[in-house]
Amino acid sequence: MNIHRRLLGLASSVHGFFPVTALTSLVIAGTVIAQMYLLSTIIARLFILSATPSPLILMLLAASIIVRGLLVWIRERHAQQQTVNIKSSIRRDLYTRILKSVPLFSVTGRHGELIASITDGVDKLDDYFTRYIPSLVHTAILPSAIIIFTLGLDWISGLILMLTAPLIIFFMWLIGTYAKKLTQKQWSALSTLSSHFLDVLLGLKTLKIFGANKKEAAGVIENSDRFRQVTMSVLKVAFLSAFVLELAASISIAMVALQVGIRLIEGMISYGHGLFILFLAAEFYMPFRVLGQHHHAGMEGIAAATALFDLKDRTGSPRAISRQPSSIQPGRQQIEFRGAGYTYPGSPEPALKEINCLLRPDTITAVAGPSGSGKTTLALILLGFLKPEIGQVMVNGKPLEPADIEKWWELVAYVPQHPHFFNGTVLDNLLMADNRAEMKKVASAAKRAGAHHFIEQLPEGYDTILSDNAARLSSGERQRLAVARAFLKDSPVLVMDEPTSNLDPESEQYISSAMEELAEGRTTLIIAHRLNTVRRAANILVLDRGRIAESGSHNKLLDKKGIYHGFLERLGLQNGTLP
Amino acid sequence: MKGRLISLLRKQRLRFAGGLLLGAATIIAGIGLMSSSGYLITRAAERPMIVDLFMVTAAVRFFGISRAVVRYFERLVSHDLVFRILVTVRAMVYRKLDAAPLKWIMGRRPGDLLARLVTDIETLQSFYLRIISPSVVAAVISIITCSALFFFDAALAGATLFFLLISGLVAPWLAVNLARGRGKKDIITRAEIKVFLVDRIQGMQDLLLLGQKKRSEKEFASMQNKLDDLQSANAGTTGLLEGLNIIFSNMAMFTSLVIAIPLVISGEIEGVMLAALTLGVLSSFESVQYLAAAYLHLETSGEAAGRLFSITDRDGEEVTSGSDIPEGPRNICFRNVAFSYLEEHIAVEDINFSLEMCSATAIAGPSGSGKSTLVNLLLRFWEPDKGCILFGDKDIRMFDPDLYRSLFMVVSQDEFIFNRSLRENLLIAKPDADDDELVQCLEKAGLGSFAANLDMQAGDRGMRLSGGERQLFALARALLKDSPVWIMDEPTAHMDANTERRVLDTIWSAAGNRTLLLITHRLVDMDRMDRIIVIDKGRITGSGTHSGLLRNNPLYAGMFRLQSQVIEGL
Repeated sequence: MNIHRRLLGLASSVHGFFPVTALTSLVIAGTVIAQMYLLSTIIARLFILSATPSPLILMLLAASIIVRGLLVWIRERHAQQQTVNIKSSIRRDLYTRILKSVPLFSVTGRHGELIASITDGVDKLDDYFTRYIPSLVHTAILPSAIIIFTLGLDWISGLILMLTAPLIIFFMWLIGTYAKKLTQKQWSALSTLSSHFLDVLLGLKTLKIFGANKKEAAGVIENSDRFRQVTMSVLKVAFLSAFVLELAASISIAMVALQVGIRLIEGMISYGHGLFILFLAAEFYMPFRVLGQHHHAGMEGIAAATALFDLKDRTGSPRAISRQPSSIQPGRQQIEFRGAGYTYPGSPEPALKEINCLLRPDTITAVAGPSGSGKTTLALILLGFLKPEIGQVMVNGKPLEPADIEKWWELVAYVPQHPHFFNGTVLDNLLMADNRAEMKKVASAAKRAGAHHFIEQLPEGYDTILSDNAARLSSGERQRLAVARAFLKDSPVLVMDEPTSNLDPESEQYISSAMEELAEGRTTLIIAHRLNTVRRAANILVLDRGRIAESGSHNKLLDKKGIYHGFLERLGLQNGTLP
Repeated sequence: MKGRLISLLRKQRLRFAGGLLLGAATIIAGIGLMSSSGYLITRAAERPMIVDLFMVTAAVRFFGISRAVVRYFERLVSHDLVFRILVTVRAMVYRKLDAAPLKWIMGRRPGDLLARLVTDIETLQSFYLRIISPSVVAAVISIITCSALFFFDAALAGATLFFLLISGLVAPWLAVNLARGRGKKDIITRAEIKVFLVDRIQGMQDLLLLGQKKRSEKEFASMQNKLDDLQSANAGTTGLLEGLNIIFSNMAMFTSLVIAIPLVISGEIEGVMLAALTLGVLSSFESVQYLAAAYLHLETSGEAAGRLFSITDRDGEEVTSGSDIPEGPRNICFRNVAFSYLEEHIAVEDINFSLEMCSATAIAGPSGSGKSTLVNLLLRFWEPDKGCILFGDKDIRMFDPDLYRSLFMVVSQDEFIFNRSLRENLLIAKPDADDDELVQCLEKAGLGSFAANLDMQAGDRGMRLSGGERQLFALARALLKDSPVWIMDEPTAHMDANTERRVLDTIWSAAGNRTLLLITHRLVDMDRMDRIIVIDKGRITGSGTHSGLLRNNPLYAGMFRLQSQVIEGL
C-alpha cells in the first residue's frame, strides 16, 4: 500500500496527470452514454414502430463515435506521454542520488545492481504507469458516471451495477494481497535466474578448468525451468483477479439482461429503455475487464518499485544546498584530523580509530602500514567520500561540512592506485581536470608526468579513443596519465596512492620523479608503498590496525626503534641501501 | 527472424493449438453473451411466456460464466507455452556460449551477454503472447463472424469483414510503418545508456574529484532525452491506434445497423435479431482490439531475436572431440608461438620454451608483459596465431579439450568464486568429495576457520570473503583437484608478506614432485626455481637461475630492486 502511495505520489507530481486523465474520461463517459442512447433509440423505433431513423439521428450517432475515438486518442496520448516524463525524472533523480552517495557504492562496489535498477527496474514501471494507472483512473470515472446515470433512468439496474462494483473491488483486493507476495517471489526468482546466469558466464573459465561446464549447463536449464514453474504458479493466482473481474462483469451483464427481460415481459419497462441499459451495462464493465488484464503488469511494476524505493531510501534525499557562505576558501590548506574514526557497515571492527594528525601546506605526509591497516580509509575520509563517524576533519581550522563537499572537491586532486578513464579521447580525459586548458598546457602537463611520449605514439595521438576504462593502456601508462590529470588540475591539496611493484622499472622511474615534482607547494598525502617515498616525506604516519602506531620523520622513527625500525631491519634496509 | 521464432512453436504444437482454441472460445463466448442478451431483451419486449425464453436465458447464463472460465485457462495455457519456449531458447543460447571459444566470449562485455540471455529473451515473450497467438485468433474469429453474418446477408458480412480487415491488418501495418526504425533505435539507445552508466558509475570517484558531476548529469539527461523522444513518439502512435480502434469497431456496428435497417423493414431479417446482430458485431472486435498496439513493438522483438540468433548462428566452435591423452609424464613445449587479441596489438611473439616434467619453472615479468596470455594459450582457451604448443610430441589441438584440461590445476590472481555456498564452490573441483576432504584442503590453505562454515554463502563474486581470503579459498579449491601440472598465476597478488610466505610454503610442500609453473611479478622464492623465464612486452628476454638473471638481465635485476623497496609487509 505504501509503495502504491509513493508511486501515485510520483504520478500526481507530474503537472496535470490526474486532472487531464480524469477530465477526458468524464467527457468520454458522456459520449458513450449519448452513443448508446442514440443506438438503442434507433433499434427500438425500428423494432417496435418499423420506423426508419432520420439521417440526422444517424449522423449524430456517427459523430458520437468519432468524437469518442478522438477523445480516447487524446487521453491515451497524454497518459503515455506523462509516463515517459515520470520515468525519465525517476532515472535522473536516481543518477544524481547515486553520484551524491559515492561512499555507499564505491565501498560495496555493487555496480551491477545499480545499473540494473536504473535501467531495467525503471522500465518495469512502464506498464504500471502506461496501462495500469490510466485504466485505474478510467475505471474510477466511467463506471461511476454510468451508475449515476442508470440510477436516474432505472434504479433497479442501477442498483445491480452499484452493488457489483464494490464486490469486484473487494475480491481484487483479496486476491491482490495474496498475489503480491507471490509476485515478489517471482521477481526474486527472476533476479536469481539473472544472477545465476551472470555468475556462470563470468566463471565459465573456472568451470572449464575444473571440467564442470557440462554439469553447469544442465543447472542453467534446470534453473530456467524452475523460473517457469514459479512464474506459472504466480500466474495461476494472479490471473484469478482477472478471472474474478471477468466473471463479475459477465455475470452482471447476464443479471441485468435477465432482470430487464423479466420486467419487459411484465410490461414494467419500455424496450428502448431496456436496450439502452443493456448497452450501458456492457460499457460499464469494459474498464474492469481492461483493468483485469493490466492488473498483473501493475503488480510487476510494484515489485520492481519496491527494489527501486529501497535504493532511493538508502541513498537518502539529495543534499540540500547550504545558503551559508562556504567556509572552504581557495589557497593554502591546512588539514587536521581530530579523533576521526570510521567503521564500515557490517564490519565488527572499526577500520580507523581516533586518528589525530596534522597535514601542513607545502609538506608531504606519507602513510605507511600493512594492507588492511586503514590507509585507504584515511584517504577516503580526507577526500570527503567517507564521513567520519566520530571526530572531525578540520580544514584551515574549520570543520569540513557535508554541504561544503563539492567546494572541497574543487581543491583536491587525487591519483588513485587504479585510476578510471572514461569513454572518450585521451584529450577529453585530460581536459576533465581543466575544461579551459589549451593544448599547450595539456601537453606540458603530460610531459611533466612522463605521459606525452607514449600518448604521441598512440595511433591518433591525443585524439585516440579510450574505451572500457582504457583497457588498451598498461598500468604504468595509466598511472602517468592520472598524474598528468593531477598536474592539470593544479589544486592546493594532493592525495596520491602510490603504485606498488606492479610496474616495469621504466614507468616506476617516470612516476616517482613526476610525483615528487607534483607535490611541490601543495598539502600532500601519499599512501606510501615504497621506501624511497617514505624516506622523503616530512612526516610519516605508521598505521597499524586502524591506529597511528608511530609518526615522525624517517630518521626520527629509526631512532625510536619501534615497529618501523623493526620492519626495515627485517628487510635489511635501515640505511636505505639496497641489497 | 520472425519465421525462426515461429518455427520454435513446432515442438509445442499441442499447447499452441490449445491456446488458440481457448482464445477463440473466449471471444465467441463474449459474442454469445452480448448477442443472446440483446436477443433476450428484444424477445421479452414481445411479452411472450417466460417458458418460451428458457433457452435464451440459459444461453445468457452459460456464456456469462464460460467466458470468464475459458479466458482464465486460455491465459494459463498460452503463458505456459511461452515460458516453455523461452526455456528452450535460453538452453539453446547457453549451450552455444558454452561451446564458443573463450576468446569470443572475452571479446564481449558480460553485461551485454547477460542482457541477451535475460532481457532479450524476456522481450520475445510479448512476441508470442501479444502478436502471434492474437493474430491467429483474430483471423479465426473474423472468418467465423463473417460466415455467420453471411447467413443473414452478404452485404452485412462484407461490411463487417471490411472493418475487421482494417482493424486487424491495416492498423497493425500502419503501426509497423509508423514505428519503423524506432525499435532498432530504442535497443541501441538503451545499450548506449547502459555503457554510459557502467563507465560513469565505475569511475564515480574520479568523476567527482574532476568536477564532472554537473556535466555528466547533463550528458545523462541528453541520452535520456533521446530515449524519451522515441518513447513519446511511440506514445503518440499508441494513442492514435487506440482511438482508431474505438472508431473502427463502433463504425462497423454503425454500418451493419445502417445496412440492416432496410432489410428489417423489408422483412428479410427478423426485427428480433437486430439488437443481437449489432451487439454481436461489436463484440467480435475484441479479437482485433490489441493487435495494432502490439505490432508497434514488432521491430523490437525482431531486433531481440536477431541479437539472440547472432549467438546461436556463430560458427567456429571449440573442438570438442579429439584423441585421448597419452599416459605417463610428458614435456610441454612452446614452439615459435605468437598471439594477438586485436589485429594491431601483439600480445606475445616468438615464444619458445619447454616445461620439463617434475620441475619448477617461473615466468616473471612486469604486469601487461604477456604472462597470463601464455597460461591461456597453454590451457587452450586461446589458440596461437602462429606456432604451436606440444604435449609430448603431439600438438595440444589434437586432444579432447576437457580431457586435456584435466591435466592442469590452476590458481590465478582473480580466481572466480561463485555466488553459492562454500561447499558448492569447493565441490566444483571434485563433485564426489566428502566434507572431511573439503576441510582438509581448507586447512592446508590456512582457512581452517571456514571448516565449520561450509554452508556460508560466498556472495556476489565471492565478495563476502576478503581479497586475501578469496585467494586462499581458490587455492583450497584447486588443491582438491589432483592434477600432474600445477599452474600458479600470481597466487599471492593480494596478500601481505606474512600470508604470502605461508601460502608459498603450502604450495611447495603440497606440490611434491609435480610439475610447477609459477607466473609472477613478485620475485619471491625465485632461488628455489629450477628455471626462470623473463618476459617483457610479449617477448622472452632471458632465462636462467635467479642469481644468473640478477647478474645479466637488467629488467629482472630492476624488478628485484624495486620490489625490495616495497614496504607493504610492515
